[in-house]
Amino acid sequence: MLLSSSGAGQRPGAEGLSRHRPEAPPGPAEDCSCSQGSPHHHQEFCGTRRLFSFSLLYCLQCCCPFPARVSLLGLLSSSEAVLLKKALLARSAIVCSASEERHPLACRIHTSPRSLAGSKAASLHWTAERAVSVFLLGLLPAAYLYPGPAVDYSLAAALTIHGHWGLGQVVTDYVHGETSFKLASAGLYLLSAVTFAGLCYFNYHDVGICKAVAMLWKL
Amino acid sequence: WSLPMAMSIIHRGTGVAMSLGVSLFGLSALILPGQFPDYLDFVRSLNVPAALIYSGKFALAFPLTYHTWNGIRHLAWDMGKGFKIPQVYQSGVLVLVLTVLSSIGIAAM
Repeated sequence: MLLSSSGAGQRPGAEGLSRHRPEAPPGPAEDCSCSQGSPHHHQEFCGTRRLFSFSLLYCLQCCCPFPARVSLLGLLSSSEAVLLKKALLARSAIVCSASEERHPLACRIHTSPRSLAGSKAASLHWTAERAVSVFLLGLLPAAYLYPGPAVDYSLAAALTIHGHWGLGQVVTDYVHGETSFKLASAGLYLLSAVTFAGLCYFNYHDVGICKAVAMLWKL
Repeated sequence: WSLPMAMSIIHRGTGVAMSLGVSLFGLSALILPGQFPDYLDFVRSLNVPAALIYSGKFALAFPLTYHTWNGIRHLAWDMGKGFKIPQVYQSGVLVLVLTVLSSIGIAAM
């Protein structure tokens, strides 16, 4: 009662979709071939959906030198035993559709196998963008309540980076072609460098950002 | 055109506009002579009517408050919240209301 399926689509893991439902105690992973050792990863779904989720995790536990993320949607009905062999999964999170009974065998696995991902640069960049956004959000009340050089220079940095990355997304979206893109990116770097220099100069040689806004508002 | 679509491009537009404004400010600090208070004194000498001063403050506050509130909406999406279509519209309207109210309040300060 084993069914092997060819590799599923290689999409970046859907982070928000990972949820594991432990409905049965983990079964023995006899079918787990990770005893063969590294450096392969595999994923096996044994038996019914319930057993599967746990067996899978069990298998993944013992053979996951590389993190990956999987979300599994629309799993098959419990009356069919399925074994899905796939070459590139490790630690994963699984979502099993609640309406599995109505759905025929249709597994969609979205994975982000690290071995194929190359680098985590894009992911880290994304996270850094959000971190800076949150930091900048906190600087707004700070500028009002605690004006001074600390907030001034923090604002200079956060505003510049937030703006640089934001304009970077605009360039990425609208500038097409290798050379044009490189030109636009270079121009953007120049702009951001001048901006940061100007803001720091203002903070040092002039009244500073917080004071300037306060004075402007008293007009 | 739908509300989410329009709000999305306005988020980008206000972001770009403010970014260019900040860059212009930084560049001016490097290039223009004198200090900031001198320029303020000059504007004060123009005796601009109060209504125009208020409008100017509103015009500065509006893109900032819009981008800030909608930015929080974006961060909520990034945490996986509020993706249902009715929620998208509700949060959008909330952002617009907050934008107008906070712009009015900030311009009055």
